[in-house]
Amino acid sequence: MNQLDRFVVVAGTAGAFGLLMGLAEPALSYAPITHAEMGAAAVDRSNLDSILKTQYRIDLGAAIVVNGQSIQTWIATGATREDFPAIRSLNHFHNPLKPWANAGGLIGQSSIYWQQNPDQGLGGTWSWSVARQRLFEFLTSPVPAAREQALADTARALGHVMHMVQDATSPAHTREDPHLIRDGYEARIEELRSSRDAALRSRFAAFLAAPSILPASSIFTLTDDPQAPVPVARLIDGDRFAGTVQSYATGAEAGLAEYTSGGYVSDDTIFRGFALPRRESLGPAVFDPPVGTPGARRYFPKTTDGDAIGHFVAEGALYERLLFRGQQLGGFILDDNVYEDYAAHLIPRAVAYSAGLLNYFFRSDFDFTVDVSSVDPERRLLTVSLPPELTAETMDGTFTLYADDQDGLRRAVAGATITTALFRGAFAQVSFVPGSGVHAYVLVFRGNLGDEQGAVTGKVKPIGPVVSALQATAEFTGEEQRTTLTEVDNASSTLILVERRSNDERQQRARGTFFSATTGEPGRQLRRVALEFDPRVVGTPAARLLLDDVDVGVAWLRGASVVDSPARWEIRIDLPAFFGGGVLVPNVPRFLTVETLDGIRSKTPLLWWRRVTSLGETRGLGQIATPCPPELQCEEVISNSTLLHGLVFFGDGNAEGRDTTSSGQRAPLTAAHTSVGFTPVGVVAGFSVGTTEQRGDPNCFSGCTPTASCSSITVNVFAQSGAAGPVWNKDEFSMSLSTLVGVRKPANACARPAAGQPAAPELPALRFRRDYLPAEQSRFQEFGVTPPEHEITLR
Amino acid sequence: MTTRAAALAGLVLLIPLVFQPGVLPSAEAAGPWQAQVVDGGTKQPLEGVVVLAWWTRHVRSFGGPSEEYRDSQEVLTDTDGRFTIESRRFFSLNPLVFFRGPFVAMFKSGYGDYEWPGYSGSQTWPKEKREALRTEAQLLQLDGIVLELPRRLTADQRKEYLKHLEVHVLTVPLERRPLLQKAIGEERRALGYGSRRQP
Repeated sequence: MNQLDRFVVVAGTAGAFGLLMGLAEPALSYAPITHAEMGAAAVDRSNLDSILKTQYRIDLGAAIVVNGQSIQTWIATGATREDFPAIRSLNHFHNPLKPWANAGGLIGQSSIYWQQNPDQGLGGTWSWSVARQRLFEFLTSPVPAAREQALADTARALGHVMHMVQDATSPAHTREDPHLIRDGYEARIEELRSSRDAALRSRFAAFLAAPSILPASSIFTLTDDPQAPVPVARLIDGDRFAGTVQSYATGAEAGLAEYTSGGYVSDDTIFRGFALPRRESLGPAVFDPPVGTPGARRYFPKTTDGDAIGHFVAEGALYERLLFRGQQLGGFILDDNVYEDYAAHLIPRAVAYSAGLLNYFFRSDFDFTVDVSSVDPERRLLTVSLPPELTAETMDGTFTLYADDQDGLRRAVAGATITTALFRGAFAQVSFVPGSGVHAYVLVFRGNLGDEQGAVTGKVKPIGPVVSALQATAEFTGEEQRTTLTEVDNASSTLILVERRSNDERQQRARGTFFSATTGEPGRQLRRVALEFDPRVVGTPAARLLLDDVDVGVAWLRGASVVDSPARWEIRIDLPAFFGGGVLVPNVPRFLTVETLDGIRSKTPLLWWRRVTSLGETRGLGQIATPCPPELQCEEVISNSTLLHGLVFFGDGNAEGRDTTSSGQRAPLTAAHTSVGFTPVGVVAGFSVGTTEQRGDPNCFSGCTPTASCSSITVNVFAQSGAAGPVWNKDEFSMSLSTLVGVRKPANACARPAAGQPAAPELPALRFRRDYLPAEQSRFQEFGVTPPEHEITLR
Repeated sequence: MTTRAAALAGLVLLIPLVFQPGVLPSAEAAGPWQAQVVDGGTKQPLEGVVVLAWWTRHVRSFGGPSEEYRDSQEVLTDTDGRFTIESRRFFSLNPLVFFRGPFVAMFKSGYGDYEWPGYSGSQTWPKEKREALRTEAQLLQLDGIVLELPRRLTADQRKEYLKHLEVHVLTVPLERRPLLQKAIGEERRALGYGSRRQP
């Protein structure tokens, strides 16, 4: 053959071939948009939307729009684009009965290898490792726009990877049946999908929506194949099916290619080339429509060896003739009824396993908290934990904490990194110095997650609105006790009149509100509100928490009460004793603990009355004083005294609720803070806070002076004298005033003077300014919030 | 037959391939495509409905054909609810290439996917005639076609349709469907998709 002949032959052959192609009906694999629709349905079926909302705190979940498309659509995009350019589809086959290295057919590589191929060439690399890398960038990129793009890319890559899972439900793709011209099964699916006939279209929609078992988590076992090391390969091939009836399974641990290859036939492999399905699994033929009806055709169901299929194969035009000729396997064809019965099983599986892929990719069991260090309140403690459940996979790698500022810029937090192997039920911790203006913490893990190497996962915890409980008052709820006492001491001829006023510290109520600098409805941000008692308290003290006047016990949890968005809180105590347990263990709650929906906890120390009493006393005395001369031998004395004394209880004070340091030293009045988060302010019974005064001498009537009058006063208003000046004594105040008038007379002219009515002073109201200690201030600074200024009144 | 004769026969076969309109099936190659769009409830014409028509190019391979965007056109319905998509003709010498289309999507806020009520009365038509009208490409070449947009009243219904629509038009690059993207964006904002927390 000369050169011209060769050209003519080549051109002519190409022409004939091309004519065949051109005249043929368009033949489709699962059409690209079919893949897209299965991908979108898989998103709905998976946990992705919930994970994006709760774990990554994207409010819109899979509906978030990035570059004009939702994440759900980006997944659908990947599922569509995997077939472009067309050469990629050569790698979409997998025969589960062959070693993986040879399972992809003559030209391409196995779809399992292709899923994990780090260099896919034409069309770009969109394999599992790319999805992992882009997820890492989604979690760690500094700029929000870059993170969004990375999330879209992650979704697209997963769509590409998912495409291979879906193709494993196409019999031709699992039975080495390349279909250059046409695959009837896939063509019928596309016909249904793209039809404007509502009846046809609804059949496709029903396939997508049909229930199907999700792959079991136990399916993801080690592969021991360096070209497909990630267990996601098991969605396609679990290496359980060996081509025999005994090894064929249809359960949640079956690889999709195994399920499809062993359970269904393709156009060109009807009972040929594969041991299963086998002719013997067919049941008796049935005519559809019934025999005698125009168009009646004989169908054979598959009744054994896996799922029962009503229309498994149909008789072809030559069925009877071939049967007569003894060719038992000849004469069968697949038609639309068969394809649709296949699709009723295969498409739901494709959707469910695609959803399983998403669930596997985004799986995560760990949790983390960032709390104030109990050792150093100005440091934070990062705690990473795994639950004890058997399903929790070991995490062997590095956890890195990132922080977002108000603009969403994300940076790694210095010192907040843990490299460890974390087993179920275990935790790991590291302390670090917090930055300022943190709007979210993000913990990112990279390492081995169970059997998957190079896994990436993370968790976002936005700070959200910081909500504080503000105490406004603490007040006695019982009646004031007012007693008078008259006492006559005949021996000393003394009349003593006493009035005593007090309140019962066991019955009080504290009231307040919830506050946030960033939202007008802080109650909506609350997840939990609880009373916190001294840890030494045994049992449940008689204290109740009320939110918006509704009694919620000692704790409120969102969803567990009719209260939805509390604005006010109240704590009522009615204690058998203020202190109990034989030692000074306070039965009164020390803190009101608030936790927001974003997990930010704050403890507000509570301020209570510990005791307050006042006393008024008058005495009249007439007595003989023998050492004096006769004309001065009898004393008539009238004295008046008042006493006011009070103690308060600080929730953040020492074991007894007092403001003392462990060394017992007290801070000077000039100190910026003391050991409690409160500072008394204003005036108490006419004396300014900080007053320490003692003057006068109550013993002015000594000796044998004829007359005397004197007064004395001792005042300590939350302060006391110290060596270097007055120091704070924030938990106590006292005032005592005494006057005395005495006259000496001859013994026979002396009588006991009448004492006036005593008057115990009014029990005062106290005011305290909330004084945020450095540890609390660092918490506010960490979140970029200005602590609210407010006062608490005790009355 | 000699080798040369066989080759010549092949060449003869090549000629109709090159010139055949069949690289795009003839029924889909004609156009224009047109219809009137009405409210499914009131049957009144709907103005301002975004109509997106597109064509795809497919390349056959052993794994099935790939699909890529070939062309598209966006129009808005006029005051009488009518639209017209211009004729198209595509051609490739590559025998493994074929074209499909137009596919059509419509959107107007508050409405769902279009329906052609003709099918409800066409159950008695011959199968061939019914099947011939299952694609937009065939249907919209007929005269007097009236398409109905069903009302989607609840937010959930509207969100569900948006989700479906996004996937349906996936083949068309975003920059080639500005009218639809604008309308979808407005619908998203109306449905509260506007605010979100950055990850």
